[in-house]
Formats: sequence, C-alpha cells, structure tokens
Amino acid sequence: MGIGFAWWLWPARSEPPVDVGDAASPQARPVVPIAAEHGQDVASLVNDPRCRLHRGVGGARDVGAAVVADAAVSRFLVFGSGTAFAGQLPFRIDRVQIGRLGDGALAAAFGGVGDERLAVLLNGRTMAEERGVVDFGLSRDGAEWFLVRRLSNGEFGIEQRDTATGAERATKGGWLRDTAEGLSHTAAYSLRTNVLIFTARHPDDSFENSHYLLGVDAKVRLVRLVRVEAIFESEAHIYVLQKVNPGTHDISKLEFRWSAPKGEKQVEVWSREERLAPATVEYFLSEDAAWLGLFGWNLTVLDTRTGTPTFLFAVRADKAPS
Amino acid sequence: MLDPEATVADVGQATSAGMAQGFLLVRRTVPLRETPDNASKDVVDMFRLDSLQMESQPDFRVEAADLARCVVNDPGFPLPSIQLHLDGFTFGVDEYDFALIKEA
Repeated sequence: MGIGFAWWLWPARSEPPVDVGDAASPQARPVVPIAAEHGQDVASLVNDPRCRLHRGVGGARDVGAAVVADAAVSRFLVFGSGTAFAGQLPFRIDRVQIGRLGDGALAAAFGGVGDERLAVLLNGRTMAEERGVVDFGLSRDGAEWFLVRRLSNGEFGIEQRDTATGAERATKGGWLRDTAEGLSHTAAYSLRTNVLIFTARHPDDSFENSHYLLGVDAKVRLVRLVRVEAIFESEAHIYVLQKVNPGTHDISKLEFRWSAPKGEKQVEVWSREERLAPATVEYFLSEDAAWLGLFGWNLTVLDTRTGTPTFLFAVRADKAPS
Repeated sequence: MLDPEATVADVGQATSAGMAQGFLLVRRTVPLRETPDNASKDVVDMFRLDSLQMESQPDFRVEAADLARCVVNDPGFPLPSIQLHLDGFTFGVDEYDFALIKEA
C-alpha cells in the first residue's frame, strides 16, 4: 500500500524503574486553597465567563475539572458527584488531564504550556511542581505522568514519574539526536496502554515522522512512517492515513509484534481506500478503540475490527464528491 | 424553529465532530425556517456508538443554547466535554450536569 516504515531497537539510557515502596513524594503538600477575594464557592468559579471545563478519561470519565485561568493565578475545581478538591495555582492553566488510580485516588495534571509550568495533584495534594515543561501527559490510569523539557543543547529530555510516590520511572535525555532546530514534536500516551509515544516530525521534504515508543519493554522502540498520519491505540495496534491522490486516502490498521523475528514484526490487519477530502482529514478513535471516525467531505465511521464503514453522515451535500 | 422533519442528512454544515463516552458527536449549523434574515442555530447531534448503523438517527439533538454557560463561552467548544454539561439530559452522566455542578 506504499507506506514506508522501519523499526529497530534503540538503546535506552535509563535505569530500570526504582521500587520506592509506599514512600510519598517529598514534594507532596496540600494544595493552596482558593483565595477569599476570588470567592471560594463553586458558583463563583463556574459562573465566571472565563471558566473552561475539562473531563477525565478512562476510569476518571465521570470526573470533570472547571478552571478559571489567569496569568497570575488560576482557580480550579475537580468534581465528580461532588467537589473532590479545589485550589489555585500560580500560573495560567491551559491544559488539564485527569485520571483515577486503581485505589480510587484522583490525579490531575494542570499545565501552563505558555508559562512552561506543570503541577501534578493527587487527591488534593500537590505531588510535583515543575518549570521548563514544554509538554506533559497523565496516563489513562493516572498512575504515571511524563514531561518533556527542552535541553540546553536544543534536544529534548523526557521524564516519567510515578504519580503516587513521585519516583522517577525513566529519564531520557540527549538521545534524540535528530531533534534539530525546526523539528516539531508531540508526546502522548497511547490510547489504551501506558506506552508513551514521542513523535518527531522532520522539517525537510522527507515527510517522515519518527515515533519513539517508551514502555514497550526495556528498550526504546522506533517506528518510522513516511507520508502518513498515525494514531496509536497501543504499542501493538496503529491506524495510519495516507493521501494517495487528491481526495482519496488509504486507511490501514497495522499490528506490531515486537517480540517476533525480524521480517515478521508488522502485519497489516486491514486496509481500505476512502474518498475523504482534498487535503486535511480529521480523525479520532473512540475511547474503547472500537470505532475510527474520519471527518472530511463526510463523516465516516469505520469498525476498527474489520475496517468496514458502519456509518456515514453527509456533512454538506454541495461539498461531497459525486 | 427547527424543521420537525429534519434528518441527519438535511442541509446544514457540520463544523466539528468527535467521540466521547460512547457517543459520536457532530456539531453543525442549521438554517432556520420562517426567518427573514437567513438566521441559523448550532445544534449537536449525538449518536450512541454501541447501536450505530448506516441509517442511524441521532439519539439526542441539543441546541447550543441548552449547553451550560461555561461551555458556550468557550470559543474552542471542546466537543468531548459537552456531555458532562448538558441541562435536561439523563443518559448516564446526569449527575454531572450543570445544575449539580453548581450544587456540589
């Protein structure tokens, strides 16, 4: 189907995860309560026209966070069937992620990407506050989080930590040799597992994206994809979109078997061609990864087990292809 | 008023789409009938993913005016969030609707 890719093992410089038992994070402390001058009741927060709402995922899908962001101080409220915890942070919050750990504890990561700040909270206690953060993420189960820093030499460094203990699970820095100036990146956990995917988009004409997978095993795995967009359901299942000509895209589900012998690591589960849009297509997976939505001329939903179109929504009749 | 005969395939440009908590969500702008100024309103059609078929009709249709102020005021309109903040709907997340947030 014309998709270029490569994979190999990349030596990891990190030490194995450290078991610190039940030791609490040395930074853990109660969150700063909302200052009285702002009004500490819920209504004053939610009724503020600047209020933004965020929701949890996975086990925290029944949890939301309301945030009123300001440059000097941002107020927040994490709620389920009632208020879980509330407080304020000394930076402009512009991203929030929420997760619920196996023991029911609620974790929330508040980021101020513009200020390069991050605070990770667990049940209303501040577990970590970081500066110089250019990206971050909380795993779906809330048990771990990561941050990305830009190092002094222009490369990127990644830190992964245990939410409850603050213990460092892995630190990798200086190994992304090809992250030269002008290279953009994204970092996120996969949809279904705690495998972290660091994607480096190359600025040249190669249209090649390097996807570094952390957490598959002790190695850093690398998947290179050329001229495609990719969605990682997990380290094993990846959906890729490739424009094959104006208006037409090839959509495929790939399965990666990391422990298989060389030459047998990748299997194409299904592939199909769709008339989607002249250029950009939005795409999204359902939380259970059962459905793949493609939003272009029309909204098409595929069953991810088979690739079969299950639903078609005519977005706008006069724009759709004949 | 909305055309009572409107279907998912009627006119009106979809502006965004997403999936969240078991639903496919499509926001679109629908022209109003019986208005002299070509007025329109935004609606969100919501389809249950577990019963999605080729000819599925929306399980819920929500007007933007019914959404909580906190969301309406958000220029980014985070689609995956809206089901948390609907007034008057009870599809499994009613305990998180706007009224109860205010009472929390």
